[in-house]
Amino acid sequence: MEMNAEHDRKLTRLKEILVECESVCIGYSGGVDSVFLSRVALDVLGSDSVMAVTGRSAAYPAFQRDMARECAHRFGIPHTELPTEELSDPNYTANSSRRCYFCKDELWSKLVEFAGVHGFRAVLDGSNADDAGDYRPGIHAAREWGVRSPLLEAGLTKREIRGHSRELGLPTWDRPAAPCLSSRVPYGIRVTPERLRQIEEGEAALRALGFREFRVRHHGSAARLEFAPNELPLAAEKTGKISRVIRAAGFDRVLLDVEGYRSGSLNEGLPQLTLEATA
Amino acid sequence: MTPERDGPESPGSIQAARQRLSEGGFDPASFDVAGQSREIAVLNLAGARGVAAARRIAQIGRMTPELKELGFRYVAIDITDAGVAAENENQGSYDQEPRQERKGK
Repeated sequence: MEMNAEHDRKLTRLKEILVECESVCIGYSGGVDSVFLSRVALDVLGSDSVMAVTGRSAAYPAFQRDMARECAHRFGIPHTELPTEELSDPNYTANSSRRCYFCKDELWSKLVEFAGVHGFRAVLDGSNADDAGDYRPGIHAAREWGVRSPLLEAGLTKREIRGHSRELGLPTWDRPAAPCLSSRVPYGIRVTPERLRQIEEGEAALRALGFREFRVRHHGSAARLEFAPNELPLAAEKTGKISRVIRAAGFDRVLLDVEGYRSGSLNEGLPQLTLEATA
Repeated sequence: MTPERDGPESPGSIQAARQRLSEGGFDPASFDVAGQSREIAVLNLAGARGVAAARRIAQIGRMTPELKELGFRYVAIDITDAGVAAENENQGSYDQEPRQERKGK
């Protein structure tokens, strides 16, 4: 009961923040957070005062784009897509541990400009309270561009956002996290359109085989596959098919990570000092 | 020189990994490294599929902390040959059918 009151208080705070913003342009990936934020903003501000904007590049998977479009269409969320040019930025393609900063810097520059041209008073992102403790250089870019994070400001956690999303009937409520495709390339290995294509093709094929939560990590000629622990038995059953589709995506070697999927596994082994210095 | 301080590129680390695997009942010849900085410790699946593959994954999973202590960032099973074998067999039920184990490369 107390927990429900706390959830309600946070939701009320979220709506207050949106009212303060008056009209909003939302960075909209089609993931759990941005779909929820856009849906609530639409309820609070109305369709004339909300625009969900998706940044489109080779690092943004097609299946995610389709989900973003479908949700916007289904719930009447005003939506547009803007091309972003992070793959033309050598700082981004060099793929240091600050890659996300350069990506978001490009994204927010486009959205802030768009908001100015179209008269939206605030630009928002879908960061939540759980993101505050993580290593997220992208959040720093957002702050530099004056982007607000209403979910984080209201103290809403991912779990709470999933719960509210379910109540609202949003199909994203139980979707796994889906960061950009570049997050599958180890730091220091250049991000290229060809590598992103291999990753996207491999992941699409694994999705078609029935897997739901996994990553194709790009290690040059080898793909290291991480499956959620509950999907590892299925992966063990389908090794033949998995190997075939991953090689068809252009990898010579197919490796099944025995620890399974964990968020940010490519941060493993990065010296803590490096992370702190670049945060 | 202690093995724990060796990076994945160190032959000492690889040698130590082979020794640990041998002690754990694995064929040390099935051990290999992968990745652009040889940061992945790899055990060949040796043709195992289905239940046999699951067992092998669980077995190597138990040795993961030891292998990571030797400097490897990741521990994986090489399943490349499973797809090659499937293509050679040219049949749809390859994932379920047991097959004679082969020596790893």
